[in-house]
Amino acid sequence: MEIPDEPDDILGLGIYRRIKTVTEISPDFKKFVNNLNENILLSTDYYDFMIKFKDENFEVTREIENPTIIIKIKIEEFFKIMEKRTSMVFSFLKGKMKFKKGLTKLFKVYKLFGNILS
Amino acid sequence: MKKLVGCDKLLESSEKHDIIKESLIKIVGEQWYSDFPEELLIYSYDMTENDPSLPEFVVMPRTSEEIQKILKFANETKTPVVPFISGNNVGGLTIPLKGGIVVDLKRMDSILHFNEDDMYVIIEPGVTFGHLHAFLEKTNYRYCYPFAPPFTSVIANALLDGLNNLSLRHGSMNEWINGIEAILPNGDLVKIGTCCAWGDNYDLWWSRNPMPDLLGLFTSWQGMTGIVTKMAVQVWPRRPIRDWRIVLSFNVEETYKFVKTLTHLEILNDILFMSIETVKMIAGVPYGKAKYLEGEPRWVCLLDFSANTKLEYEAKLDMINTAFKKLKEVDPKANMTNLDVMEKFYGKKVGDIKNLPVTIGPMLEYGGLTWMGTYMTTKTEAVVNGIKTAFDLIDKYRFEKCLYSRSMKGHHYFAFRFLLRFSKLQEGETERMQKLQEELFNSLFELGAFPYKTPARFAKQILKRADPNWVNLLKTIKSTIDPNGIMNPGRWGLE
Repeated sequence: MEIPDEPDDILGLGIYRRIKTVTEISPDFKKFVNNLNENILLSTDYYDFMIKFKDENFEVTREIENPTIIIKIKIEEFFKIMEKRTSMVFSFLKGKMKFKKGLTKLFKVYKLFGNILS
Repeated sequence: MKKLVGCDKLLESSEKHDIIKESLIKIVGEQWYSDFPEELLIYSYDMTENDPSLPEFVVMPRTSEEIQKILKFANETKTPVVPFISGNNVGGLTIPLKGGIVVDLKRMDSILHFNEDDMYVIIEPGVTFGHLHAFLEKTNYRYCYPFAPPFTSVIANALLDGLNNLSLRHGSMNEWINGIEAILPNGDLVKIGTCCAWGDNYDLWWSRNPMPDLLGLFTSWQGMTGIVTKMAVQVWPRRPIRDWRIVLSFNVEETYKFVKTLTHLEILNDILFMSIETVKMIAGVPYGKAKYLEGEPRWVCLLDFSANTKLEYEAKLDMINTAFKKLKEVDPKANMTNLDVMEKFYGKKVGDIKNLPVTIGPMLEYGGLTWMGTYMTTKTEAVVNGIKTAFDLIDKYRFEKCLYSRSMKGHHYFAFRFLLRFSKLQEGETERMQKLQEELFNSLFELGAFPYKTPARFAKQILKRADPNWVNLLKTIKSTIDPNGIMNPGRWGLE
């Protein structure tokens, strides 16, 4: 996997570093990410940004184009999941984490964010 | 780079040079003396934008007696003397503006005594925050640690009115000094505090009250009145539970009110009020890229608190949560999380805030680091105006807007400062930083912000604006203690 430049924005930087860290410590996650050809748009109450996975590379950017999955979530909910005050499943069921596109790819998203946020 | 001040002096008066050399070697030994140009160069500059200037001699004494002899000799020969430890003061304060002898105190690095009953340690000037931290980790006590590398000197920071992660509780570091031993420019050894009566008994350095407080002859004088060779500094009981919260917010006034509310509750060890650029810098975003981007939270507060019991911890957390809820009512996108979450996202560099003292690599790796560090009123209007004014100026000179401020002594005053990275390798960047600093100083001084660890050029401007009777008193004190003007000359322009 080629390591791209770090993003300059605060949310993108955090997500980028987290993916990088988890891929370094988990061969399973690295394999999963390498095969993940998706453009995931995270629409937050701060701003929107994308995680693009393609050909075993990934990039985190504020340039939005052709999302295959769109997730809407507030940063507050994001922190709650990280702090284990709630779970991703619970957030989803309560409508705090919404799929605007790509609901059929729920499993992929669960695995991706389950690893990032755990 | 500008021509080094002092180059010509090295070539001149070789006879005097030889006499001084011989005398210094006699005092400290050949091993602890140097006039090699490559070694002098190390002492001629620091990481700031201040112009470099060469010393002529460097000595590394080990004892107070050696320092007495050095100062007595320097006084007789009217040779300038600059005390030096690690040179990390971020104010150009150990650059030998008039050449002379640099007295490097690193070898005096003993922790001489720990009085657990009265809670203080007696240390020498070469004792670093790293040393003291390691020593106290074996006890149930804690000192305080600045956002600085572990190799910086405790005594230097205390004498220069430095601040750190217990300053919200206890104020600037000079307030925690029980007493000192110092060598005056004529070589006399003086003791200040209760040690004036029982100096040889390290168990009786317990306070500097009640007596005329002469410590002020040395604090923030930047080595202009003598060399401090021992200091008793207060330590405090370490509490078993410690935790941190990070608050991300958008509205400057409301965030500052939140800071004020928390300080008045008297439940925190420390509260930092930073801009997002500062967090990016700490997280390792390269120089020039730590910028605020649209949509990001603009402000970041770090709350540090501790407790003796789980019940106390929960009560404090409850008060923090209540204050945060009030902030959220007026700044709805504000969020609070714990430091572990931030560490998980941004890595160890951010988590290291828990482990001060620590070297913050991204601050130092571009060759230039400076600040505009001031103490100012806590009035909301002044702080908010100060931020706006400073941000406009920093933008004008195209640097990063890294606000790193802190409430002091229960919010009696405010440490208002900006950490400024720059590259000394970039043509014209040092000069650009000097211009920015000049404008920052002028603008913030007008708003009631007084620089600490004051660089010489700002100190001279303060003298022009300050009450003439205050200036005269400073000059009288200086000329009385140091009639030949040998101690760190040129520093405040008092000679």
